[in-house]
Amino acid sequence: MAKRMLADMNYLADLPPSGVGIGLKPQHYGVVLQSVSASIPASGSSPDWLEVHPQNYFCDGGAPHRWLSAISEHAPISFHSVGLSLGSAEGLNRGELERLAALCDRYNPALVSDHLSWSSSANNRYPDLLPLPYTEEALAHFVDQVGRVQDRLGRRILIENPSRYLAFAHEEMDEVDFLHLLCERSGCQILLDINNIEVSATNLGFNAEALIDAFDPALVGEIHLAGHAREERDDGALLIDDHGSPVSEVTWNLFARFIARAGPKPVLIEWDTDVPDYSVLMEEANTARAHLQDAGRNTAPEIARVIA
Amino acid sequence: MMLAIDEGPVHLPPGLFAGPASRIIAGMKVHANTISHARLVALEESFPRVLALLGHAEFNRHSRGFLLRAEAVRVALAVIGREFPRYLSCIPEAAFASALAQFDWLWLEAFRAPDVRSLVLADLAGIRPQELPQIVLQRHPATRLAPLDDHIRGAVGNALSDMSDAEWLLLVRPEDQVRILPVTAAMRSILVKADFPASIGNLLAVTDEPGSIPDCLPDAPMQALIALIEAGALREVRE
Repeated sequence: MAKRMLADMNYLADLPPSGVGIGLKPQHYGVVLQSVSASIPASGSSPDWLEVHPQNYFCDGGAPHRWLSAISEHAPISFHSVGLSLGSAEGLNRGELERLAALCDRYNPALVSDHLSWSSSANNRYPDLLPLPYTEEALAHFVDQVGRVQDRLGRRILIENPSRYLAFAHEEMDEVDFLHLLCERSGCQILLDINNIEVSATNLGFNAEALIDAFDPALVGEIHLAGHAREERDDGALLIDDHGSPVSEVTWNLFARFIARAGPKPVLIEWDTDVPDYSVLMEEANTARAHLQDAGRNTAPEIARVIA
Repeated sequence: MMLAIDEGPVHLPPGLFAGPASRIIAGMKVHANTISHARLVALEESFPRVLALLGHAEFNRHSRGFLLRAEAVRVALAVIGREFPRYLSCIPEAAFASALAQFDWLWLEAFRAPDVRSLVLADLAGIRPQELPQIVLQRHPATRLAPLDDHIRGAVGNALSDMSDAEWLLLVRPEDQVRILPVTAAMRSILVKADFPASIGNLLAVTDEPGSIPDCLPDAPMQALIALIEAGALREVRE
């Protein structure tokens, strides 16, 4: 789908701009359904939306789909894909794309996103988000792959900035420029993972605040907040993006800094490892809500339009 | 980079990454550990009963051996364990767990199977007796048969009654949850025939073919069919 057509779509995201979501986990199916379906939910007790990894719902049927169907009747659902491998030199995984398309037809998610990364080769599948160099060649390839996905799904997608542990020696541009050009040429938008900003900046020696300040808020359609692990080394700390802990103070501060400039955006609390009780996730979500309310008081409101 | 992830940092092309060698190695290790951990966890989650039987250390040892095989890492995580039962059967000290591994995999297949309405007895209530033999049935897509051995009996037996004579187990999922039931020889015979669409008349026919039910009591096939329908193991096939 040409970028011009996407720009003309005037597509309004179904996620509330000040909405805070959580990742939907099987162990929370019951309590989530109960909270989002309550006729008068207690304040701060339920998420505004839920996000899932669509690959977990590629099964043909069964309990996961029954839960997701029931929950989706009461709250918007977002798909955060991890398997398209858009950066693979051989091209994206077409089988995954077809399954994702079928799932989108079934659930009509409010947003669909994937990652600025690759995770498979011609022979092997790597369950990780591996880095690609920020070069014109890689950009042209990624623009093409994003276009194929958007054409197939009939919608704009969001691309998430990665957590980086490695920097290629011969890059032609920085990550922000790469993402901005990707948006300009493909019509996609950015899923800004602020924990990933802290992780990448720490690991590669960048200034995290400068990095956050460089992102164009108009291109950001969603924000992720997550925790990380820290490994102290003789040559400096190494942060590992394991989504296994509360959001760090640095990430909260970067989040506040960004939304003070950008205004409210849909925010997701990501916690995928050692998943805690639902109440803990909601505490994180309510902290995000408090930050959004502060930002809303201090900036002009911004509609979360998914328009370039 | 792929070769370095698969086989170690000695394969890392010089000059590919920026920064000190120690940080490059540390970064590669994070990726390699993430990949390895995800694959191992996927196997643990696919084979919980085998994990309980072998214990974590032994299961981990065999999992790592399995993942060294190229074909194991060419598939998505959801199906990474597809060949694990067969792999275990080829290892002398782990072969005893292969049937239980196959059971775990069949359970997973049942759990993930399509949502299809299973046939219930009430569906047949209003049909004239002379028309019943023409009704076409087939296995429900979630239905699986598993041979029963001592390890499977130990893993699931406490949840089942009337297991003493069973040689096979039936896994069904007519609703949300997978159910496990012992099956009789007559039930198994019907299910084998119901792999493809077959009329009730054909399903109930007892023949002298190899694999048919020996010394079958006259009403055993009908009782078996009713039991299968009550279990949610069959679906009606309409033209």
